[in-house]
Amino acid sequence: MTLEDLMQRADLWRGGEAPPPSGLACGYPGLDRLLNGGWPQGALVEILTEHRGIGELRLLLPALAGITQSDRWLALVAPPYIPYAPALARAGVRLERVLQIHPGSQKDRLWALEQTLRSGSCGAVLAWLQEADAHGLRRLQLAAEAGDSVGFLFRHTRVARQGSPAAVRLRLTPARSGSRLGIEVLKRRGGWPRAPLELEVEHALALSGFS
Amino acid sequence: MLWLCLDFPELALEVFTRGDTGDEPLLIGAGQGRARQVVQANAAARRAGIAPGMPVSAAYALAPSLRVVGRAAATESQALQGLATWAGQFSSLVHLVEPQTLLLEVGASLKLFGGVDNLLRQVEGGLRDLGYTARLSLAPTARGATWLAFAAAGTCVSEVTALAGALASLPLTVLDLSPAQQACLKGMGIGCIGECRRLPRAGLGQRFGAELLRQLDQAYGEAPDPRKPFTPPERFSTRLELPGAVDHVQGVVFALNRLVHELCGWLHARDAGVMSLSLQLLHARATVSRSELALVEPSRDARHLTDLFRERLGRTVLPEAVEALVLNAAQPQPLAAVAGDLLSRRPPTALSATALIERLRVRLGEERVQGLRILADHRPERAQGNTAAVAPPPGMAGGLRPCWLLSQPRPLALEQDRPCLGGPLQLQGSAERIESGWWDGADIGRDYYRACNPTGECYWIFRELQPPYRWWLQGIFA
Repeated sequence: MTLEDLMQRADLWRGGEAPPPSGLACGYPGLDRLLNGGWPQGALVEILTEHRGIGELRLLLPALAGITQSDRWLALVAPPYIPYAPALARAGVRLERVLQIHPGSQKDRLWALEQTLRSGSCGAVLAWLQEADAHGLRRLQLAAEAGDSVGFLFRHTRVARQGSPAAVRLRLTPARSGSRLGIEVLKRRGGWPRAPLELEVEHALALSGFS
Repeated sequence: MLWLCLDFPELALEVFTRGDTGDEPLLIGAGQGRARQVVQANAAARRAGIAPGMPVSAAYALAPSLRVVGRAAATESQALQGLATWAGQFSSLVHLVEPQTLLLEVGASLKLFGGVDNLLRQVEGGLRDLGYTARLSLAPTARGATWLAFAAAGTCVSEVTALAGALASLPLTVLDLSPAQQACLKGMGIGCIGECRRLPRAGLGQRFGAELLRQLDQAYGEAPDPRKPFTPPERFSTRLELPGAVDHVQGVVFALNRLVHELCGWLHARDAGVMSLSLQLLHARATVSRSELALVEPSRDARHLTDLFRERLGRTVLPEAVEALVLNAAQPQPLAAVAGDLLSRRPPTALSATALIERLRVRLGEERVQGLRILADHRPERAQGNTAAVAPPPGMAGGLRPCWLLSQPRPLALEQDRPCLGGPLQLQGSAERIESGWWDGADIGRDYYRACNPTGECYWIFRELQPPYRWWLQGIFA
């Protein structure tokens, strides 16, 4: 059997082929290309950081603004601080489509996260999870598929070596200059991990204006 | 006119069993002591070989786990009223025929429900959800429909011309006559309604009274049949007795589901939904636990309401076994029409956002599920608020704002007169001065900066304009 014969076979999957883009535009062309069309809909995205406050939310703001403007809801499950309304509004997020949920226990947190992902009315769900086992993550991934929602999970970099059912895993590192962000793709759909990318995340806030 | 007759032959049993998930033998006994006899037996008891007329002691021998109850006429009457209320969704004209029959004028509803077959299917499905079994029949006269339900259930006659043929073969037992009169007719060699009607009218009237003639004429549609229509209640309040004390939530929810379906029938009849519901669980020794449900939007979706109660009850511990349930609803609200989206990508099973918010609130508590809004104030901690119902006023102008705000500003440590947080902070850009609030005693004067530490974390910090010029952390540029 030659290589040409193998290439003719329909059941052979080739790693270089990208699946049809069915993503939610990130707002950053470089990252869109890297993720084959944006944030994957109906899937989990893990965002791993060592420190909070390096621009991890600013990276998502353009996509989140787009979701609320298309009349779907944005849910924040167990945010560690107060989501600051003026900043979100300035980035274009429609505040009347934002839901904050503060569950008391870890069990309630996972439950609320699953419900919001599964409901189909939330375009994106942002969650801050301390602990989550593979079984719990798998449930969340299925819920996101059922609800056609994107679940962004913010976790610490130390879980980077654990396996995860999330469709995309990114590790964010602060770049030398404060307004830039280093993005390392640990896992993505339809491709191998890539070399780190540096993005300017400041413009999301600066450009959307001082209305 | 087209009358749908619903006859409930097992109503006396079903008022006891419909709240129960199991299939235990149950029978209704009448009489005292050794003379106590079986009046009615449910399917499980009949399978064990128990038949009406048998002494109760013999029935115990056949099925040791048997439960014997006396007939509860008041409960049956209430159940029939509940059924009439529920049936209001299919017809605007419902008659109640004690002890166990309902008559619905459905001629005017056929178009709405898409024909006789669809209507019957919906009625049957609804009765299954309520936990009742019924004999159905359809006829152009009210009395004719009742007779058909009693003696030939399932017969559907929609044309007046076909009515005489359908009634002719019915037995005489459908007539409302005294046993002596029944025996007399039988003695005359009359076996069915058709034969009775062929007798000379004057002689029949003389011998059996005008009542028999009136019944026959009404059934054939030759005499008027005035009845008092049933008026549904203004408030919904229904009680369901559980067959035995139930101490697990699943059993309570099962019984509650029956009541919720009854409620939804009442709401359908009024074309309305409810915003608040109250459930009472009655325990032994007359203690009651209550559970109130408040909704964001009027609803009459039985599944949704039951789900909400399941979440609510799932989090509470039943203090004692439950013996009965009471569901109350007041003030039905008009429902907003729902418009579907033709081009939406949403999954077909999508839960509406309000349903999601209600579900989250019921389980987590109302204060834990909130919206966001902007307030018109320059002071950062007052420029935003949490809200249940959202209506954002226009925001105030200002410089760069962080995505995270701390609930309280936190003082920053100083190192060689420079603020530090995970290393010395490097100030970026120029200061933004905010001075405001002198009018309400919470005035501030601050210079805000964006500052980054060596690990790349960016903070929103400020310095007081009054001595001792302290530095504070207020937000995080996440």
